[in-house]
Amino acid sequence: MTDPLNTVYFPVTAAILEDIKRTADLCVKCNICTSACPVVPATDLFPGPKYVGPQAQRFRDPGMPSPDHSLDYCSGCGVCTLVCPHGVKVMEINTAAKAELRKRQLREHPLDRHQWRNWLLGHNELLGKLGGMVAPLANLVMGFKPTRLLMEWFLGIDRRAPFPRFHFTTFRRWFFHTHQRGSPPALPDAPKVAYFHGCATNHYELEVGKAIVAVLEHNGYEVLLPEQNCCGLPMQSNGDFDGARRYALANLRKLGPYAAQGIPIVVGGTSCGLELKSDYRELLGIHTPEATLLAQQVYDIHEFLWLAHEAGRLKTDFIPQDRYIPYHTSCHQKLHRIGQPALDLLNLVPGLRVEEMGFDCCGIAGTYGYKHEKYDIARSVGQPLFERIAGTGADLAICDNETCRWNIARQTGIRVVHTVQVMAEAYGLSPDNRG
Amino acid sequence: MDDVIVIGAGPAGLLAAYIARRRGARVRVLASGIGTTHVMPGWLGVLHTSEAERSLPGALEGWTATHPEHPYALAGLDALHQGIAALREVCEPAGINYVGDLRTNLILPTALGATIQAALAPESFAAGNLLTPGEILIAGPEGWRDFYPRLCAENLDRQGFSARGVTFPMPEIKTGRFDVTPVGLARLFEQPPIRERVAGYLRARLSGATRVGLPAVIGLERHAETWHDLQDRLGVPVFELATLPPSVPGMRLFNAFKQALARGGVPLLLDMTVARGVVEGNRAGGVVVPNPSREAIYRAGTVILATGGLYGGGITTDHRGEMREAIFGLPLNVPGDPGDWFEATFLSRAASFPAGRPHAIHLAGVRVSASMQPVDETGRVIMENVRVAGRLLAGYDPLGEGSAEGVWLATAHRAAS
Repeated sequence: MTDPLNTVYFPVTAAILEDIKRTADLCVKCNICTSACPVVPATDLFPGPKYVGPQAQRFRDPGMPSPDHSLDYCSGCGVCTLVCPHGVKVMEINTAAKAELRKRQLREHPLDRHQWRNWLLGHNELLGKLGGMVAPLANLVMGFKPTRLLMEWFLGIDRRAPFPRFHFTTFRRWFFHTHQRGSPPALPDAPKVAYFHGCATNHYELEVGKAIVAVLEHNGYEVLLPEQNCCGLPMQSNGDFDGARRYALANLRKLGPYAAQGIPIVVGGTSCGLELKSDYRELLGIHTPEATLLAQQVYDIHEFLWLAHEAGRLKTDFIPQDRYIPYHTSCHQKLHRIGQPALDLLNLVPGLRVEEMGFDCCGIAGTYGYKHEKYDIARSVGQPLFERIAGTGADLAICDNETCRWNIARQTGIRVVHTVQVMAEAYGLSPDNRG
Repeated sequence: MDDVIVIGAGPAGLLAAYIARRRGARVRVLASGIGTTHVMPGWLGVLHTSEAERSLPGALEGWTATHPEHPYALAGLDALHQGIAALREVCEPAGINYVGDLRTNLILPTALGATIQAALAPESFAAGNLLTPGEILIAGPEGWRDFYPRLCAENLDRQGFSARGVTFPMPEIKTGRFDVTPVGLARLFEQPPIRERVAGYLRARLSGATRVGLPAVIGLERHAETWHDLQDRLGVPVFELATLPPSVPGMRLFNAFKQALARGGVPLLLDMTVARGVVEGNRAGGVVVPNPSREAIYRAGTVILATGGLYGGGITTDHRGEMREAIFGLPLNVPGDPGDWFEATFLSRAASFPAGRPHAIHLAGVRVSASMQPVDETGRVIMENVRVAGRLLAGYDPLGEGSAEGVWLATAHRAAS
């Protein structure tokens, strides 16, 4: 199959991927990444990021067979890239190599059911749409043990994996039909913000989107909801770079006009945000002026709100809280390289005591922990975090990444929400007056 | 806006952050990645002492009197003691206890069977002190490429320290699919059945040895428990020898810092490479950290530079041999011309120590005032609210003097106070 996109982008892609790969030469083999990797202690199927990353990179010649056997067990959490003091983009090297690995596997084992599964997990937007159409039925079927057993046996999607609940309605429908109709128009001089909600908020966690809209509007912003599609990360992390690139280009078309007008684009999910900010260029190799312009206008929601605070335009009329909430920083949040604006924001709420749990990864790493052969590894990675959260006795935790949230909730049995949901509540923006 | 931003997550930066927080400041640590904790041996060297002057306080007094530009002379020896006290505070809750009386140096064996001097060492290193008599059994896992017990023992024996080397079976090294790193071994040692097996094997081979030396892989997260248990099972003191990186004792120290900073609410942010400082007159307004979308400015009342030296990235060079302080472009004190920078022998030592002179390049760094503020050639403070700690400082040669840890202990304390 020839992909016209590939023809257009291939030369650029090769050059950009080359840059990431070149960071392999910065590696001094100190093994700091291997000692920090959360997957290594959980399984002996993965030798460590240094080995499959900068070290194996020396053997990855274009056109030659890849030496990779264990690469597939890299969860892509990126802790290696974070801890590396020498600037090696270890996780990015691995992600690029995974795309090559997938191509080879598709060629050699086209009927392997894990390929079908990975395709499905890459298409979460489609799953959300289809499931939403028949939400009650889909939820019933997915809650049914034999269904999950069948999925595990046939596709290798673990029966214990944390699936969200489907909704009949979507966040977009709520925004355009219920919210906009029921709210007074924004003030003419209100600064505009475009909101990229991502698939999970649109189909599964509408309340996250509602809270973000409420907090932005409370602070005097006019929220715009651009046409958008899946950011492409689920495909990218399942090795389907071509599919991810198609999504990326569609988003560039849809969001480009907003970026061109200088309208900030805020993103609620840490992974979607990272995809728009850096992966389109760095990993998918879309090195166009439009991609750069988009990246410059994209803000993680907390980054945006914290900058607003620093500029003196965030309201701090919070209702004092007497509450302790454990917080887990998702891996992708750290890769934004923006510090910890969510914690900084939560610190503004009087009486609220939020504690970062101090663990690198919850294990799920996007779709990694959904896969049957990796489920136990993922759980073992997250176990210390789950125990710590459970040990606090709190009935609520915060995490700003969707699948991490579902994973932690599933494993600890407590409710896990997005930072802005807690802020909305502290502002006194109850679901009712959020319209 | 924070009161203090510390740049660098090596031991100097981490200790400075801890001390600044303890003094009530709102502190943030920004770093490119993990620092030198993961490559440091674990013991704390303050200064080599000689046969003529075995007393450490005497040697330190003598050294600062004759080296007025040395970080010890600038920071003051009380800073060294207070730095040590702060480090103990950090480490004790994590089960790391340092031993050493600070009157004489311990003499510890290295993995090659050479000897080094250290003022303090974690208690799991203490039984290796060669000033204490007693036959040594050096032991290591069979087939591990990072540690050769017989080589170590032979070299010790040659120097008059009675030692034998032995390997013990560690089938996990062979049955595992991949290379075993020191960290992997440390995790194996945390498993009681493995400890029992190793202890049983070695107990039968003690034949008179009064202590057993093992590579420093005796547990990581549960080190104290692992070490005590192994010692109980063997019935003789067990000591650790520093291995090749990543250093397990260094990781224990890093974890202790991480926990102490977390308790104090100090964010430790990695992969946050500071590109440059914001200079406002003779003050630092903050620092700039580029992210994939934009450059973010982090503002602070005080900036502590603990960015390291030539090897750590605090000093950059180009192909012409031009050296530059990485964040503020502070003037560097670089002795002589490039032609004078290197001596003939790689591990050339300081003049005060037998044989050879230090590589002059190791003396390069930022000159500071007694408060660790950067100064120009005339000694005038250039940036009021910037402090420098650790390897970025000019005027000392950690390898030659054996002062690597002592200098970060003293200067981190002074910079944060």
